[in-house]
Amino acid sequence: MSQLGRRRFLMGAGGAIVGLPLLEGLMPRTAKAAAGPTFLYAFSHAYGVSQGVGRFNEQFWPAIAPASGTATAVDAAALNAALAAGRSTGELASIAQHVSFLRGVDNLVTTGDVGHHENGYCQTFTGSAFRRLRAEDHTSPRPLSEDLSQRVARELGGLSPLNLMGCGDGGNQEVWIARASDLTGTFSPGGGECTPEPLEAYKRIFHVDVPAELLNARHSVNDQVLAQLTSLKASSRLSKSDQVRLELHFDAIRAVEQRIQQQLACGSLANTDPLMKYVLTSGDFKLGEGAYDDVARYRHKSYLQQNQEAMIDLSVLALACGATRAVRFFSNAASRGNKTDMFDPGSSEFNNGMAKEMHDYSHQLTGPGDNADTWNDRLRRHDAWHLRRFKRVVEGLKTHNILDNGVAMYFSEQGNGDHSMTNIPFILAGNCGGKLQNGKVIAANCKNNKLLATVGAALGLKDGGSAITQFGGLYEDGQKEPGGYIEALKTTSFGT
Amino acid sequence: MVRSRALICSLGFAALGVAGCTGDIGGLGGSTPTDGPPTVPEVLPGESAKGEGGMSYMRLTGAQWEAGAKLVARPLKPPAVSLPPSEPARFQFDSDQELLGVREGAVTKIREAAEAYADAAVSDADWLGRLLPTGAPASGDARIDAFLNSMLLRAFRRPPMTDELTAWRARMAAATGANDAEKFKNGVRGSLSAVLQMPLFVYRSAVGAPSKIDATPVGGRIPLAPSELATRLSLALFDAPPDDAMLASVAKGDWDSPEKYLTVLDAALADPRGKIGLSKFHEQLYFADQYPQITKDAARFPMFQAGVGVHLREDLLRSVDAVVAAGGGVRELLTTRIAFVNAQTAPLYNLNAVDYTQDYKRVELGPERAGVLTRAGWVAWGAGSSDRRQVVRGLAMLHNVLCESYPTGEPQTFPATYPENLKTSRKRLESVVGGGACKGCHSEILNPKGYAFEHFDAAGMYEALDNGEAVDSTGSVKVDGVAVPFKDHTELLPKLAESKQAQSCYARRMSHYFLGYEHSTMESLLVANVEKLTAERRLSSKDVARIVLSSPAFTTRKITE
Repeated sequence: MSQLGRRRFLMGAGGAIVGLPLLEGLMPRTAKAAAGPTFLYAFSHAYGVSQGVGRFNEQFWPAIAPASGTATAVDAAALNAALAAGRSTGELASIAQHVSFLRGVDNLVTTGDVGHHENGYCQTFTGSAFRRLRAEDHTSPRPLSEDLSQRVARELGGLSPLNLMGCGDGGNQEVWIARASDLTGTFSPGGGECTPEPLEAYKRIFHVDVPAELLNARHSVNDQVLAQLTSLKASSRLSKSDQVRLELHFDAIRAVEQRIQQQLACGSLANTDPLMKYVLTSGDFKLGEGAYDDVARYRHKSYLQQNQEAMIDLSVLALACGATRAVRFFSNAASRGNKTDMFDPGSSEFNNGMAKEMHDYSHQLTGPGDNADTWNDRLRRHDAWHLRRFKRVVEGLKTHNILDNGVAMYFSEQGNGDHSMTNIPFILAGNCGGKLQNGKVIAANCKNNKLLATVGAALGLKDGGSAITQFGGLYEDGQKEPGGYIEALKTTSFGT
Repeated sequence: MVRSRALICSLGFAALGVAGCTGDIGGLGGSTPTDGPPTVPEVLPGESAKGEGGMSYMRLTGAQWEAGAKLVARPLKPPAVSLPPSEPARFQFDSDQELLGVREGAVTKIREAAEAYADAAVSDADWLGRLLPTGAPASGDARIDAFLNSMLLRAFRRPPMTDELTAWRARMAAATGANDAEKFKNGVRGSLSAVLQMPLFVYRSAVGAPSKIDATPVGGRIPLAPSELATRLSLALFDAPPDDAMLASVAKGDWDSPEKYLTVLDAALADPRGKIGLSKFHEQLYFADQYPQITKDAARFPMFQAGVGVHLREDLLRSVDAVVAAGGGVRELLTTRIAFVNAQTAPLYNLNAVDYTQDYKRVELGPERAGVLTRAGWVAWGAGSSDRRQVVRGLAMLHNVLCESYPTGEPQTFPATYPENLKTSRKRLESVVGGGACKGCHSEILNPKGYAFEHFDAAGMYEALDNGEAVDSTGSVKVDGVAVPFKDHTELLPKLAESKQAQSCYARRMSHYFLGYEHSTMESLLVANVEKLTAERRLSSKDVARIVLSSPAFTTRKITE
C-alpha cells in the first residue's frame, strides 16, 4: 500500500513543508509491512440462497458433489451447464478458474432461537456465536468477536475496513458488526461506519479539497484531541465501557488522519478514472441530507444496479490504490422495501416489476398468483443477480491485476430464506498469492470458524508470530470450537 | 408536584449516606401501605454484571452538543449544522450511549460543526463583547487569559486547570495575523473550533471529585463532583450543558451535599426549562419526533395535508405538557382527552377546520380519543400511506407501554392486491401473518395490541367502517399477567392506565432515557417500588423523574476496578 509519511503528506497537501511532529498516536498500532497488497473483499447479501436445504429447491450450486473434506475441479463448461440447468452459480462461468465453492459450512450455533438476520450476519463473518443485549430483542445483537475484515484491516493495514452498502438506506448489518461485544471485552474499535451512497463513498475514498492552512489546523486539533484522549484513557478509574468508548474515538481520529493520507495517495488515480468522472458529473448520484428523499426514484429497480455497480467499482479502485485493505460490501438491494425484480435493465422482463419484497419470496409467503414456480423463479433471479455483482467485483480486481494478491469472498448471512444457519453459501475468488485453491468445489462440511481461519491465515494473519489456526470460535457460554483449517482449500502449508 | 420525599430518600440517597430515611411513602397522597416500598440497600445489587453506572464519560447528543456550542461560542447567529446521526435503532432513546459512539463519520461531522460555530462566533462586529468577560483587559496576555478562563469554564463545565491553560495559551500564541487584533481573532476562532471537538466538551464526565474519591465510598459508589452533577442534571432536564448561572451556583457551593442537591433538583424541575427533558422523553416515547415525516396517500386522504405532521407533533407534545404540568403521570397520559388542535389537524379529529386558526387551541376530545395513543399523530405514525399497520402499533405499545420482550421477526409486508373478500385491513393482515410460523407471535402477542386501535385509519381519523365493512377492534391482551379482553381501545386503555405493568414500564423507560443506558438494577428497584403503590397513589411524571434524578444511579458513579 502506498503510505505517505506525515511530512511528505503535508508537503503534498500544501506545496511546502508545514511539518508537524509525527505523533505516535497516528501510527497504526499493529501495522506490519506486507509482502504485497494483500486484501479481503467481503461481498454479502441477505436472505440466504435457493439451495436444496429445507423446503427450497436446489437452484444454486453446480451439480458437483465431492466427498466430504475433498475438492473436485469445476470449470467454465461445468458452470455453463449449471446455468443451463437453472443453477445460479453458473453466472460465474467466465471466471470459473478463479473461484472456489465451499459447501457444507455451518455457523457455530444452528439450533434454538437462532433464526434471524442479525444472528446470521454476526455469526457468519465472525466465526463466533453472538448474544443479544436484551433477550429476544433482535435489534440488539452483540457479536462475541470481531469479524474477518476488521482483523485484516487492523492487522495488515492498520486501518478500519471500508464499509459499503449497495443501494443506500443503510441497514443494520454493519451496525451489528461494528458494535462487536463490549460485554466481553473483545470489542474491536474501528468497525467504521457504513457508506451507502456512491458519491459519499467517492468523497470518503478519494476526495481532498482543503487548503493547506486549514488542513494544518485540523491536524493540530486532532493532535490535541488525541492527547486529551490519551490522558483520559490513562485514568485507572475508567470502566470497561469507558475504555471502549474512548478507544473508539481515538481510533476514529486516527482513521480520519490516515484517510486523508490515503485520499492523497489515490487522488491521482481518481482524477483520471472515467468512473470517477461519471460519479461526479453524471448527476445520477447525490450527496447529503435529503439526497434520497425521492424514494420512488431511489428504490427504482434500475437505480439498484447502477448504485451497486458504482459502489463495487469504487471499492475495487480503493483496493487497487491502497486506500484500504479490507472492504465489506453488503447488498441491500432486496431489502428495505425495495420491490426489485432482480432483472437487469434491458431484459424483456425488466418493466414488469415484482409485487412483493424479497422477504416475502424468501419465506414463500403466499400472495395472489404465487406458487412454487414463482417463488423459485424469484429466488433464483435474486441469487443470480447478486452473483453477477460478485462477478463484477472479481473482474474489477482482475482488471487491476490484484485478484490473486488477496481474496474476494461471497456469502449470504443465512443458508436459505428461512434463516437457516447451516450450509452458508461461500464462494472465494483469488488465491492469496497461490495459497488457496481456485477452480474447485469443496465439500468443507465444517463450522465457519475453520473457513475464516483458513482464509485469514492465507491472508497473513498471525497469532504470536505464526499463522493463525483459529478465528472466532467462541460460544456464549465460554466454550470454544476447535480451530484448524479446511485442508482441501489450501495449496500449501501456511507455516509461520 | 406531589412530593415523595420519603420514597426518594429510600430509593435515591442510600448510597449518599443520608441518615434517617424510612420506608414511608405517605407523601404520595395516601396512607402508608402496610407493605411499604422495599428498603434499597446501599449497594445496587447485581451491578457488576454489566458494569452499570461505571461510565465516566458519556457523549452528548447532537442537540446537547449544539446547545453547548451556543453557550461556549456565543454566535450572534448560530449556524445550521448537521451533527452525527444516531445509528439506526428501533425503540432506543437518542440519549442511549449505545448509539453515541464517536466513529469516523462522527469525528468529521463534529469537526464541521465546530468550525462552523467558530466562524460564526467571530463573524460580526460585536464578537469581542460576547466572548470577553466584562472588565477584561483590552490587549496582551491578560486578555488572552481572560478569554480562555471564561471560555474553558463554559466548555469544560469547570474551571480550567493550570496545565490546560498553558496548552491553550500556546494555541492562542500560535495564531497568525497581520496585527494583534487579527491574531487575537484568529486565535479565538481556532480555540473555539478546537475546544468544541475536545473530549472534555464532547463527553460529560462523571469521575467524581478527587477529594471524595479518597473518602470512604458508600456502597461501592462515589458521589459525582458538584460540577459533574450539575452538568448531568442540566443535560437531563434542560437538554443543554449548564449555563453561566448554574456554573456560578456550583462555584458558590449550592451542589455540595445531598440535601442541597435536592433543593437544586426541585428548582430545576420547577424551572420552565425543566419541562424540556420530560418533553423530549415523551416525544421519543410516543415517537412524535417522527410525525413530521409522515406522509399519506393524498388521493385517499386529502385532509392529511403536507406538513401536518409538524402540527401533530405539537399536539402530542402540548398534550403531554398539559398532563405533566397538572401533576399527572402515565395513568393520565393514557386517558387524557386534552388535545391541541389547529386548522390543519382539526379535520383529522372530525372537527370543523373553519373553527380553528394556525394557533393551537386546547380542546377536550370525545371519549373515543382518550389517551395520547389515540392522538392523530400516534395512530397515523402506526400506519402506512393508505392502510393501518396493526403490527407497528402493537410493537410500539409492547415496547414503550408494556415493556414486554420484543419478539423476533421481520417487518411485515403486504401483497399488492388481496382477494375481494378481504375487505378490512385486519383481515388482510391476518391473511399474511395469521398462519404458519408467524401465527404464534402475531396472533398472541403483537396483533391484538394493534387491533385495539382499528377504529383509527391510516390518517388517524376515527372510523366506524373500514373499506365499507364494520371495524373489528376486539381482542385480548395480557396485562399484569392477566388476559384483558376488550371491544376496542376505549376498554383497553383505561385498564392499561391502571395497571402496574404500564406504570412500571413508564418508570423503566424514563430511567433509561435519563441515565443514558438500561440500568437493570435501577429499573428493577423502580419497578418493585412502583408496583407497591396502590391505584390511588400513582406517581406523577415529575415524581418518577425526581426519583430517577436523585437515585444513586444518577448522582454517583460505581467504582471500577
